[in-house]
Amino acid sequence: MRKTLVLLIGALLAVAACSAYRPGPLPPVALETMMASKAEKGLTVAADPYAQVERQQSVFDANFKELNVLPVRVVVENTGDDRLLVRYSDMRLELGGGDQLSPAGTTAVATRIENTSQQFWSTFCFGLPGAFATSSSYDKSRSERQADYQAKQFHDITLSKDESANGFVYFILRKESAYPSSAILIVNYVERDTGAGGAIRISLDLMK
Amino acid sequence: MILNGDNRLKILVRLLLLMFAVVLSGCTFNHVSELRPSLDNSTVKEKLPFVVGVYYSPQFRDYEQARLKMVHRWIVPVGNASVTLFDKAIPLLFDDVVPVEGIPTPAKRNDKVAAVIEPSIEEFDFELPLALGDYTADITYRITLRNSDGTGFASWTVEGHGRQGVGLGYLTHATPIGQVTDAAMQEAMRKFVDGFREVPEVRAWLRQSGLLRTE
Repeated sequence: MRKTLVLLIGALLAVAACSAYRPGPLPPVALETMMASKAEKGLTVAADPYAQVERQQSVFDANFKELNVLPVRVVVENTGDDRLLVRYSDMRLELGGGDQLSPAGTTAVATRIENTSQQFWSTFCFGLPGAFATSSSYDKSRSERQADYQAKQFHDITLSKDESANGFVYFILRKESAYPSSAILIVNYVERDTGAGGAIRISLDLMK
Repeated sequence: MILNGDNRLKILVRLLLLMFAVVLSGCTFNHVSELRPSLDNSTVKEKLPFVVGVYYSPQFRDYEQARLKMVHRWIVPVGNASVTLFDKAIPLLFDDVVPVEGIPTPAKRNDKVAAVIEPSIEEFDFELPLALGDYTADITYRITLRNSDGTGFASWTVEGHGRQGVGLGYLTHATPIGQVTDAAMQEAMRKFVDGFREVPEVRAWLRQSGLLRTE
């Protein structure tokens, strides 16, 4: 009896551990190593789409391709004299036919990852304790995942001369338009002191 | 009626069958969260001497989001509550605010107002815990300012987040979902009100209107 109980608890712990969030470290970033870059009016923008599942798994512990989420790492550097404001919500991903997507919030991205099959089997095999173990573990991993995605996200920033910033921009693609071969990233910016705006368009190859 | 062991078992089996039938039949139970956001402690001391119009699109007014968990559908009617909140927030910024029924166009100008403010919901998401996690809600409003002929001259977003752990005493998830949504809406609205004059495009407009010195 005691042996069975120990085995059962061990199995439960193993099931719960399966849904733990295990992100990898964020690789260092440099403008020169990014897939594409462009400079206009004192702003240099470089972008690197994480379209390959292996790269997504290593940084986000998730297969974003399956979930129609495309993370794009963006680096911006101000080389001009004007202070420039770059906003996360003003970035766009242009797909074929001129269709433009706005960036998604990290909650929207994190909540797409649900291991319902694991919860079902855990409940089926272990009853209420199984359901509770996987649910608690899922809640914890969701919370950690969301915080990590938030930390890795590109945040609104005002850049003075020679300042730079980087982070991920998350796009949720519509089902029918999932992962096209190419897309255009549009980075809008505003001159902090005059309110004048501009945009930089960068072509991304999503097959590389 | 005395329930012996056999009877109890029969009742239990029937109850389980009933629950199973409910699940299989695709029945869902709708739970609507009641939202009561408030606006307090604004740092704005002076109103701008403008009459502005405010336009709430039908999509904005009717915006709601639902999340289905097993047989329960949790519904958050965030659009309606947002209208109430913006109706409190915008008069803190301007001398006079009038509702307008549509966005002006070059052919149908609205010269009675200095600008038309059009809020929209860029994103809203909420999540509820399966066991002992947190309730979370995130909202992002997009604010668009248009001139008398409808041309947009400023557009930016404000976001708010709400988070709350599982507590005792909730009979339904609807209450905490409503509370974290209220918190998210309130945070976003404070950012809108307190940060309004700091938006570069708004500053340019105020400068053009002679309300701000050229830097």
